[in-house]
Amino acid sequence: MHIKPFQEFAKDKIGVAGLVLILFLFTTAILAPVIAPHDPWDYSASAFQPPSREHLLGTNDIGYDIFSELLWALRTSILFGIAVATITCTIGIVLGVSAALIGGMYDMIVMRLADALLAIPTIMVLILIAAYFKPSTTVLIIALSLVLWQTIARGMRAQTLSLKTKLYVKAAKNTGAPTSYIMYKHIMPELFPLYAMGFVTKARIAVFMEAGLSFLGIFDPTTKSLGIMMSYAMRYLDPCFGVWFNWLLPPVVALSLLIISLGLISYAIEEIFDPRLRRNNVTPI
Amino acid sequence: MRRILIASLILIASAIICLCLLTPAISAAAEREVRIADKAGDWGNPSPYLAYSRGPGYVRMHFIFDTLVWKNETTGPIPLLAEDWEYSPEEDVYVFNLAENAKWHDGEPVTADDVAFTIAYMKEHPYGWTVLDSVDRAEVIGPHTVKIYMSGPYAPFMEDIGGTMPILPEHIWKDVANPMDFVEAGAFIGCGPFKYADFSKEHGTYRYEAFDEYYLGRPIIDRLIYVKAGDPQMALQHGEVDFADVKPDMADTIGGLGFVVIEGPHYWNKNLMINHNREPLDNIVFRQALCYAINQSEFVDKSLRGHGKPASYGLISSESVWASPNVPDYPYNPDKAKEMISTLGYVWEDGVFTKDGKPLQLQVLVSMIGVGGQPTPDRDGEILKNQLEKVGIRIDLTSLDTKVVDTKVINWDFDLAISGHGGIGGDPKILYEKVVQVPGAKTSPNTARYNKSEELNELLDDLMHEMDPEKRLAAVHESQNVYARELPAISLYYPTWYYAYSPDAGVEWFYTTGGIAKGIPIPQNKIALIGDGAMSGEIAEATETTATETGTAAEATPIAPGLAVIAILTAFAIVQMKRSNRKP
Repeated sequence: MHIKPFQEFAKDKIGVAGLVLILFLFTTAILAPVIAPHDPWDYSASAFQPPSREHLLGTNDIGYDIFSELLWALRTSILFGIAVATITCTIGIVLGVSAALIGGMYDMIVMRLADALLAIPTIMVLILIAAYFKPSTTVLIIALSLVLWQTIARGMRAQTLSLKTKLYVKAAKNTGAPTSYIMYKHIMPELFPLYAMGFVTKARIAVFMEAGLSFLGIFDPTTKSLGIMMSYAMRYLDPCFGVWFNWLLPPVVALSLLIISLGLISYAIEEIFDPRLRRNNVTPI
Repeated sequence: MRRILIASLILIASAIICLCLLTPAISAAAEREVRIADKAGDWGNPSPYLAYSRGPGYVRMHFIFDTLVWKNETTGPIPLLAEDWEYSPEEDVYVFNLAENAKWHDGEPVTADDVAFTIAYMKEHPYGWTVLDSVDRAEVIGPHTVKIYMSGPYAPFMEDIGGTMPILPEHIWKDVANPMDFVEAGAFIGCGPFKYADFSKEHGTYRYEAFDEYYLGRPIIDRLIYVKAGDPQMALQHGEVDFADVKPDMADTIGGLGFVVIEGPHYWNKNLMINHNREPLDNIVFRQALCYAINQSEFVDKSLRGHGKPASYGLISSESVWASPNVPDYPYNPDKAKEMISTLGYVWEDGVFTKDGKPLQLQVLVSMIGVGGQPTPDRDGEILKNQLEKVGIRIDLTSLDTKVVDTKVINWDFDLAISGHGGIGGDPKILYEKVVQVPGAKTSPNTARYNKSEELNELLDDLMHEMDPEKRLAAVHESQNVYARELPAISLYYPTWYYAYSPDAGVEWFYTTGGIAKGIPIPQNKIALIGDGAMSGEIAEATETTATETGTAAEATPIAPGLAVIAILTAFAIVQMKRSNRKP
């Protein structure tokens, strides 16, 4: 590896902006139980209260404190994103690298499976799973991870195949190094950019999917979620309620910021590891 | 030559402007049209077998097809196709005398043969809204007199069959082997006040034209249109429609804008289905404890923000004429609920009841079903979970697709499920239908299928077959009392529905007593569109006023500035032509 990724990232304004934003959201989500002024499941307050000191973003149709609900919903989204990204990357790396190293029939089966999954619209599969099985958060995390690993596996396989032909890998092989050693010492570190990018991209997709599914109403109704908040707020859009700015807007903004921050990080990482994308790129003569 | 061409074009343009200005004025003055907004749009073709078997589907069909008797705002049954009728207890027959001037929309007369045919046809090809097992046969005893022989006493006959079964024209349907596939023009020939004009499944629109030769007099409007609207209330406010349902929170605002808001009676019930085959729900004491643990008022306050009322535990609406005055009540008392649960061998440990080391846990299924079958998310599941957890029952709240919840309930694969149904303001037959599985009928997810109480079964049997009105009423009251004690299902609340209409359209819409036909709680009764009795005088008067106003409005349309524009254009054209003539 000839790039110092952390120094490069620190120089990238877009990446730093994304990182600051995600750290802010992440901290807020982690501290939700401490920051939230009310229990987000307590509906004893009266409905449709405007923003006040007591309720920073007012209350909703049933009497939940919107600010507390928002913090807990953000927590769900981030947790969902991290969990899906972790499982997806693990499956993708294991299957992709092993397919490249083992090859043969195993390689063919894994790759054809990946191709088949690529052709299936993810959202439809999730809606079906959510509609027919008990859609707890864990079930949805696993379901989403099982249909999102294919692009990571393909990338990992292609990169591993390319690395296999490198001289230092061949040299290591010729000196009698076992496959596990080569994989651990030479292949895995070289794949780091792909992990980072894959992780961020999948986290972004997962956050969006979670909000979409809960918006459609097929998510655990007691979980606090940005999508569920939006779904309820949409029912009271009429100007007479006057709640769109304190009820609908906050989850929309929070979701947008979360997705934008992940997008910015993903963009910065891609730029760092792909020399062709660098803005100050000077082609050596 | 070029100028002549320009001049001609200007003249044509003037003529077109003139036509455009005059057309709305002419049509506004000539046609009376009522437009109704609906969120879903498509409720199936408006023909008996093709309309979707939900309330709005029947309503779309009922404008075209008449039944023997009907209901209005205050009473039922009232004459419709049958001018009068008689029941003979000795023979167990009903004799109906039909209106002699009734005609089908294709001009053929409506006769007793059509009624006899309809009964025979619907016995052979079951129609979802009416089960004719109680009817033996129909006999024609005159051109307009028909005798219906019952196979046994059947108390709900007048509402269930007489007031719900649409009469079919024999000359069209006699050759129809499979009614579900019959979508020809003949499928829409009825004898109701409106003729079928158009239906678009894609756009969810319906169009009906007034039937000039309707036997009760021509309808007071010329055209009735249903349009699909994403937000019916907005469509009403923008003047795109004359009639729409409004959100409860908006009812006062809409009323303040000059619309007439009608508040519906409480004939729809949100209930909790119980799997009484599973422990501990099979125990009557546990079910009663659930009632004490449930705070109905909190559902009304929180889920409906006050737009509803707590339900009677006896299933029949507390506003129905059939409501029992002494249905057992379970006022909110969580301590009593805990006490009752502990008598069943449960031990209170850290806020949860346990038995043999296992916590008392129940799964509650919720779906997206909302008021009137419209898919809307609601807060009921969250509130129920909160209330039951307060008395030490751990709740696993599961949200699934409506059809999946229905299937699970039908297959007894559930503990508790939040559901809802209408019909609790009509004939008390609903008690029988919601407790007992009617033989041969499709299993409904709202039917408790409860047969553990001999007493309740006997009372329900009396309710169905007792022809003496007083004795029947006594059986109905007692059935509700026993129902509330046995609790095959728990009624939670009745939501209040609001509809609003523009008074300018000249139609006074109303809620039908007990609901349309078998109890459909939609205030779109065709009687509101037919001029009869004292009400029709007021409506006709209102309509005339509206027509005059429309005429005035038409006169006030900006024709004068339009004419000025035309005059200028014409003058310009003439000048152009003259100048063109001057040139050699």
